[in-house]
Amino acid sequence: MKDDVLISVKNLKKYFPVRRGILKEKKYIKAVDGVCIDIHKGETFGLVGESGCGKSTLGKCIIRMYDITSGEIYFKNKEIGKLKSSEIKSSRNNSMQIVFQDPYSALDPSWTVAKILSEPLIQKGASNKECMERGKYLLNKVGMTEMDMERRPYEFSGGQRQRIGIARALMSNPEFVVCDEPISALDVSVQAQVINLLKDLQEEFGLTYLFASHDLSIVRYMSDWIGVMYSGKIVESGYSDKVYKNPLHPYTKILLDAIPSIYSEKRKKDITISPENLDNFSNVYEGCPFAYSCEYAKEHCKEGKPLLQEVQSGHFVACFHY
Amino acid sequence: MKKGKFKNFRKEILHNKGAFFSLVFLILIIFTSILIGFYDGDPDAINISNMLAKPSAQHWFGTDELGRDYLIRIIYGGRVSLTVGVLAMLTSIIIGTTAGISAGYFGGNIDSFIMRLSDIFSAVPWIIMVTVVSLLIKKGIFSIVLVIGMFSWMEIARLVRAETLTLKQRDYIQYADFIGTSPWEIMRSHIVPSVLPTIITAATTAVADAIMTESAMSFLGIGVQAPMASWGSLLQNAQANLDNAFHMAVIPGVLIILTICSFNNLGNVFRAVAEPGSRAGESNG
Repeated sequence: MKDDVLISVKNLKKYFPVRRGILKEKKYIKAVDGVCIDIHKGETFGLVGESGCGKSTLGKCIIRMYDITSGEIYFKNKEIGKLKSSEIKSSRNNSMQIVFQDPYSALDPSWTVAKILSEPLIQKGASNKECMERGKYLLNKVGMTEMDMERRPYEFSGGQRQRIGIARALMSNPEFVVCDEPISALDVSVQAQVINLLKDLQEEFGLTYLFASHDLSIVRYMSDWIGVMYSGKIVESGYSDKVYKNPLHPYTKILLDAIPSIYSEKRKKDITISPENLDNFSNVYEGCPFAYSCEYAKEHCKEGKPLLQEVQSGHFVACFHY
Repeated sequence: MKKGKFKNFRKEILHNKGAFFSLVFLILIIFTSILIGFYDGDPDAINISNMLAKPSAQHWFGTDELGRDYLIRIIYGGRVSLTVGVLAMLTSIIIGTTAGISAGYFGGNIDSFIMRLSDIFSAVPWIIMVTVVSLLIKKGIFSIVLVIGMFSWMEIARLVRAETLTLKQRDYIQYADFIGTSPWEIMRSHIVPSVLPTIITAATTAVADAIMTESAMSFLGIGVQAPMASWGSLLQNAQANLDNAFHMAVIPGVLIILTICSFNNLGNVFRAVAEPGSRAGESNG
């Protein structure tokens, strides 16, 4: 089990400074605050959580698109968290890639598809001919034609653009792809196509995904292992089925309850998030980040931070109730 | 997209009468300036027997105080004014774009340094700066171009910087950085094409401003040197003869105004085509 760990993240922290004047105390937004995850080769790690909980930041930190504040990241047992950005650029060799959330901002509007697809390979020193061949091959793989090579992004729909984005990510033959909410900007019928495309490509090329989304049903469909994020922390993680069938953390329960259902009685109650939560990124209080919205919260929940612990085999939760 | 924009541009030109006449006027002026190159007479040839002649069939605009044909002088003057305008525009565009993109892309201290420098340049009245610098360096058409370009890049730098700041946040720029594209390459291949519409719009205004500045400099006597003429220096020479040859002042003055208005009109059309939010002609009819 331990051997096939492709990526191991240990106590990763990413704080963004918030400047409020020169003389005032420097404050931070703790976007990712002490995350530990293991991602196994060939599997999909699904990351769920509400908007702004740090899913995208975590993904971008792992592939070192962002510099990290502290912690360790191992990629194939090699520490990459502390490498300088110039070192990472030369050593990464593009074996880690990313698919963006917004297909409209991910592609340069003035470039042709051929140029967009060539970009990652040109950086590795590939010739123009190699780029074109691989570009055409991958364009076919994502369900588009060679004719599209000379067209520009504005001639395509959102779903087609996302396919181009996926093809671009695969150009350098990566092992690990961060899918940063790749479907949330698309409409439902196109979502299904893109999801199935990602699954097919994973099988064919043996890819490992980190799949971030706030759409729970799609994450369940995609993922082998799931991490539930709240306020920059993983509050629950485990095998996809275990988490869905038996959610342990109160936040996960609320999240799963929030899935719209046609059976109205299935939805038990409205969710109330207390105003303290709005400020939870500056972490003004110690303790469990969810304590102020949690119906089971006791006094000690607001005092100490719960740690992620294994309560069943393959099912971890960070809550004092277990 | 380029074809679509060109179509929009044509439509805008045909609908906006002011812009249409501006374009026709500028084409006329530019063609005249080019065609005068085939004129084999000497524009500076002095003919003392025919000083300050009234407009006639032989000399349409009359002659000046040294008996030179005023029409020829005007056309040669327009040539100088337009050349200076375009070259000074190019200089200020190149400086402004480079400064703006570097400031916006690198941020931090480089940004602060460039933008404070531009603040300093903007804070001192340009006429003082231009006067001092043009007194220090060798006189000639290229030093005028350089001087005007050096003191008019700030507005363009600010525009380009603002646009670069928003572009920098786009995923495709961050991706290019992520896969290891060098900053120079990102600026050249991603940012410059994206800010091009802004630059073109700013360029038309910059030409108008440069012509204005050159005329003012020549009027003050620190611009082009005799016997070379520009519309500004013709205006200055006309001062002495205001009583008996009023048209000598009016003609270059009107030409300066029309040229500047035309460039500004076209600038508005460019802006309307580049940013459909603001319609051309609303600001100046």
